[in-house]
Amino acid sequence: MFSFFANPQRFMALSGALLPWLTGLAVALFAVGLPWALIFAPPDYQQGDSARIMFVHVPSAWLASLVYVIMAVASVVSLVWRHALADVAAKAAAPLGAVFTAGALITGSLWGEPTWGTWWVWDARLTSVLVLFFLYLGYMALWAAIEDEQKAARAAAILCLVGAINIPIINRSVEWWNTLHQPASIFRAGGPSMHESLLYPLLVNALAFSVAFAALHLAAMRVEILKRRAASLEARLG
Amino acid sequence: MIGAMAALAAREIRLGWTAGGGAALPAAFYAGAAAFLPFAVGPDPQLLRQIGPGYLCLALALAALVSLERLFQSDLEDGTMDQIALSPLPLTASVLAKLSGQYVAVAGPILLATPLLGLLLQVPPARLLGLCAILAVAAAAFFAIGSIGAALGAGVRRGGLLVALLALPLYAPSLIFAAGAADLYVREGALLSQPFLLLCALALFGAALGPPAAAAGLRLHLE
Repeated sequence: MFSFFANPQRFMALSGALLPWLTGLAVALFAVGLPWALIFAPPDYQQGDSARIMFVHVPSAWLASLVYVIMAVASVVSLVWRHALADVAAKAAAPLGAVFTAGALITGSLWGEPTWGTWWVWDARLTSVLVLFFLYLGYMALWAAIEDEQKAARAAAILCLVGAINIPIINRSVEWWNTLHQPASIFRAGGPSMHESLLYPLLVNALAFSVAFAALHLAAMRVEILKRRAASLEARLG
Repeated sequence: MIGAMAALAAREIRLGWTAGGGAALPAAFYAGAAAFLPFAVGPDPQLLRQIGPGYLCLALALAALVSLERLFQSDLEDGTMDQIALSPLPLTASVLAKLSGQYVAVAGPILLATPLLGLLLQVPPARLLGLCAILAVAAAAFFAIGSIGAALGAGVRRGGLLVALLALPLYAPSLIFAAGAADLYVREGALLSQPFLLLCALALFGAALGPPAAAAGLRLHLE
């Protein structure tokens, strides 16, 4: 299957056929999920309407980590099998992951102000997401800094894997640090488990975000492939 | 093999300490950063005693970051790295040897300056030596983990800030445990505390992960 999809020509044909459907599906899911979450779902009994930001915040945070996993898998495939499309996939995923991470941080901050009374807390989770954001930035900076495409791909893959190995350590260490310095007083102890009326719109929105990511990722990969094709044409024509 | 590695490490130290080697610059940076802290937060001894040990760990991390660029860059530029790669010594072992040499040449002066700076930041004199021990382990972790970023960014022109950006997120765990250990030791005198042992574990982990990953990164620039 690997070698089947390694052909960029085949990938372009397949992704070109798939892309409109994915885009349509994402739009449809958002059309259902966002009104449901932002208008029809009941307000939280403690936080009122401010809790609605959760429907954007939680999917962003999920995708922030999921995209890094996707990048790490693509990096392994690129390093081990020198798969032509794997480094395109990893490169195209990074800006999207960074945007989801920034989105999770910003919406979390906006949510924190009315509920916790502060824009930012050095809570373990917030801190690990912030470190994840810096990992994304470093990854993209490395891609941008090395001119030779092949070299950049392999250097970025090594960095991505080193980051992937370190992410669990970072999460654990931040947890240790946080529990030492401040008790977990901000989160309501044993907070209310989510009611179905909130859970379903959340899941629909999470699905919408995921499908939107898939569509954007495919589109970004296509752009990257076309860019490389244009560059090689230019080089051939002198 | 040990002999070759020792020779590489000794070369690294000699190069660092000859004229223009610049191995003392990170130590000067570290001393300046530590001595300027009171200008920013005020001279209150109580406050300095409270934040001093953790701040020294941060200054050490930053000093390690700025020294990373010189780890491979000049050897790549003048072709020495190609010769090292051609030698029968595995590249991972060469990286480890270079790293140890750099550690002695760069972290040595930093650690020598630490007791004095600790005094300036109101660390009790009896705790200075133990603080140096904690910082020595922390420096090992910073150098080993940072070598990966140094190798990946080595072939890049003006790669200094890039190297810093690559290594920074990876420093978070070591910095957390180093500062935790230093703080705990200076306040309560417990050297072999949980954070210190975790810091030691991170240094060992870095020594195992850093050289092979850095060697893989260097191979890219050698092709």
